[in-house]
Amino acid sequence: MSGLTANADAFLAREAVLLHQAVFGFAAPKEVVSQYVDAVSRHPDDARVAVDMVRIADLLLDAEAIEIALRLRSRQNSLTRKFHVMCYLCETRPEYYRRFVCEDTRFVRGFLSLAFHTFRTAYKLLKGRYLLWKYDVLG
Amino acid sequence: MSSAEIIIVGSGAAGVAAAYQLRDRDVLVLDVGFRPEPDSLSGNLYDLRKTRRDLLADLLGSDFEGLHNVFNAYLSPKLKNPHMRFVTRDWQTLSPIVAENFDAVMSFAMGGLANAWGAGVYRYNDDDLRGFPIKAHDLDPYFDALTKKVGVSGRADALEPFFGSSQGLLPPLQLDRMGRAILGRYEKKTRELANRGLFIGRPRVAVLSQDHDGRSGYGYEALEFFKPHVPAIYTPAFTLTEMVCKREVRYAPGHLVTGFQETPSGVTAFATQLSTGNKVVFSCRKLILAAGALNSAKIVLGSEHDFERTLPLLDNAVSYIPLVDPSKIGASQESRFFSGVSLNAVYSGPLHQEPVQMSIYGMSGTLRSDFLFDFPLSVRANIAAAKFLTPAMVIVQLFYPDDPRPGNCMQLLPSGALKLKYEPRACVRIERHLVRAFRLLGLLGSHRLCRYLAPGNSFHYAGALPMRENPEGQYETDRYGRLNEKQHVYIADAASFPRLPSKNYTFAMMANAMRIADRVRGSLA
Repeated sequence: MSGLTANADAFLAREAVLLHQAVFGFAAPKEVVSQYVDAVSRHPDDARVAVDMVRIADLLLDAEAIEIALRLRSRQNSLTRKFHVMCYLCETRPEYYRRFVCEDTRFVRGFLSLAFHTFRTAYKLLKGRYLLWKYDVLG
Repeated sequence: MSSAEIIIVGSGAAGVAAAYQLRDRDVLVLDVGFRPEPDSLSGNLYDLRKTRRDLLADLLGSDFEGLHNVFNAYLSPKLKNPHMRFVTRDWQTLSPIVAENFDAVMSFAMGGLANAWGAGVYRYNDDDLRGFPIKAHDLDPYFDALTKKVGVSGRADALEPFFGSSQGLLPPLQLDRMGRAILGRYEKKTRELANRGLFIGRPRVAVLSQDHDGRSGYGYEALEFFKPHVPAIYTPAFTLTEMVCKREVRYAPGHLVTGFQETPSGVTAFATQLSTGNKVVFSCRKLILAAGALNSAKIVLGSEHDFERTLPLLDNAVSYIPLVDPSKIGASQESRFFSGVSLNAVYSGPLHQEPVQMSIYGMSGTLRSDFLFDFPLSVRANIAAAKFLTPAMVIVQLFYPDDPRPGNCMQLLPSGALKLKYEPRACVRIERHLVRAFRLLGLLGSHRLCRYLAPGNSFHYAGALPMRENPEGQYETDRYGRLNEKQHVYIADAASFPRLPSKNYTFAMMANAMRIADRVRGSLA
C-alpha cells in the first residue's frame, strides 16, 4: 500500500468513527470502520456539494446538524452520501437490527419517539445552519 | 451457418411466450443470456437479518453494488441489489444509449427484465386496446392459456371490471397487516370511494399461492428483493429452462443479434458470439424479434442501416404517493409477508380520460436505508422514523398511459448507440385527488411528498414499430406483428404496441407474442 493510500484510508477510518458516533452514539466496531473505508474508497467523491470532512473532524463539529442543514439545501452533498453509506453498512449487521426494525408493538413509544425527533431535527437544523455560517466546511 | 425453422431473438416475457407456443416446431432462441450467480440466501429475510453476521455480501454485495443509489442515478431497489445485478449486467456496453430525459434500462439476462418484475399480470380489455388493430377477444384465449401455465393468484372483486375474467385464478396471496386493514376499510366505504372514482382489490400476480405445475407455493419469506428465481414467482427463465430440458426448443446463449437480411427462402440473422467476438450467421424461415422494445427497434434500424429515421418511443409515467396509517405507527414488524404488490387500485373518474392503475406496496421488503433519506429529518430521526413508520406505511405507485408524441423518439446513431429523446408531457395529475380519497381509508399523506420518477423508470418501453390495420412504410407491422415490407420478420414484443395503457403490459405482451407465434406457425404451413 502506498503512503498516499494509507493516509487516505486512515482519514476515511477517522471519518467513519466520527459519523458512526454521530448516528449511533457509540464507537464504531472495527469491522464497520474497515467496511466503510472499503465502500467509500471504491466510489468517486463527485457530489455536487463537497464537504471538508477534515475540518469537521478537527473542530469536532456536529456532523448530524451540518448534514440536515446541507441536505435541505442540496441532497447531492458528500456528507449525506457518507452518512447514507454508514447507515447501509450498519443495517446489514444483526447488532443494529433493533435500531432499524420495530420488533415489538410500541404505539406510545413510537409516537413519542417521532415527536421527540421532530423537535430534535428542528434544533439540529438551526444548529447546522449556524455551523455552516460560522465555519467554512464546504469544499 | 446454423439454421432453424424459426429463430426467436430474446428470452424475455415475449420471446419465451412465443417459443412456448411454437415448442413443437424447430425453434432456436438466440440470446445473450446472463444468469444469476449462486447465493447463500435461504430462510426468512428478517430472521436472517436478526441472526446472520455475514449478510453484507448478500444484501449490499462484495463490491458494494447495493450502494448504487447513494452515488448514482436512481435504480429500483430490486435491480440494484447484488444478486439481481445479472438482470441489467453490461447492458450499457452491449447496447449503448444516448438519452435525453430518459433513464433507460435494458436486460440481457435469460428471462429479461421479468427476472425482477413485480409479477403483476393484467388482461388488456377493449378500452386498453384503443388504437390497436386487435380486440380483447383476439388475446383472450392466450390470456387463458397463460393463466393456466404461469399460475396467477387473485380473485374476483371490485377490480374485475378492469382486470377481466377471474377464471382459472389460484387463490389470492395472504395479505400483510396493512393490506388487510386497507381492504377491510375499503369494503365498508366502497360506494363512497366509487363516487370518487377509486376502486381497490386484490392484485393479479404471477406468484403461486399454492403448488402449481411443479413449482412450490410462495413461502412468505420476503426475500424477493434480494434473491432471484424464487420458485413461486414466475419468470420466463423457468419456462425456457423447462422447454430446453424437454428438448422442445434449442437455446443459444452468448449471442448478441445485431441485424438480419431477408433472402428468397427466409431470413439470415447476424450475431456476435460474445465469448470470441466472432461474427456468426444463422438462417431460418421465420425470424421473431422479441429482444425488448428498444433492442428490437435497434436491430431493425441496424438491418436497414438507417441512421436518419426516428421511431416513436412510449413509456408509462410513474409516480409514488407515500401514505401513513397513524393507527399502525409503532406496530411490530411482520416477518412473513409478500414484499411485492399488496393491493391494486384503479382510478376511473372524470379527472382522467382513461383509468389509471395503481399498485399498493408495503415498505418492508427492502432495507430501510433504501428510503432512509427520503424522510426530511436528521439522520438519527430518520432511523427512528424508518423504525416506527415503516410498518405503518404504504407506497401507492401510479402508472399513467402514454400515446405517441412527435418529440418522443429513438434514432440509431452511426456509432451504433441508440439515441432516445423524451419530453415529459404536462398531463393531468390525479395524486392530489387520490391523497384525499385515501384519507377516507385512514391513510394520511400529502401530494407534496409525491415523487415523480424520471421518464424511463417504468421499464415499460414500447411503440417503435407499431402494429396497424394498414401498415405504412418499413417501420410498422401488420396486426400479426409482421414487419411491413418484410415477408418473414415478426415483432413479438411491445415495440409493436401503438400506445401504452396504464395497465402493466407484460401479460398482454406475452399473450400477443403467442398470438403472433400462431400466425407464424400458420404461415409456415
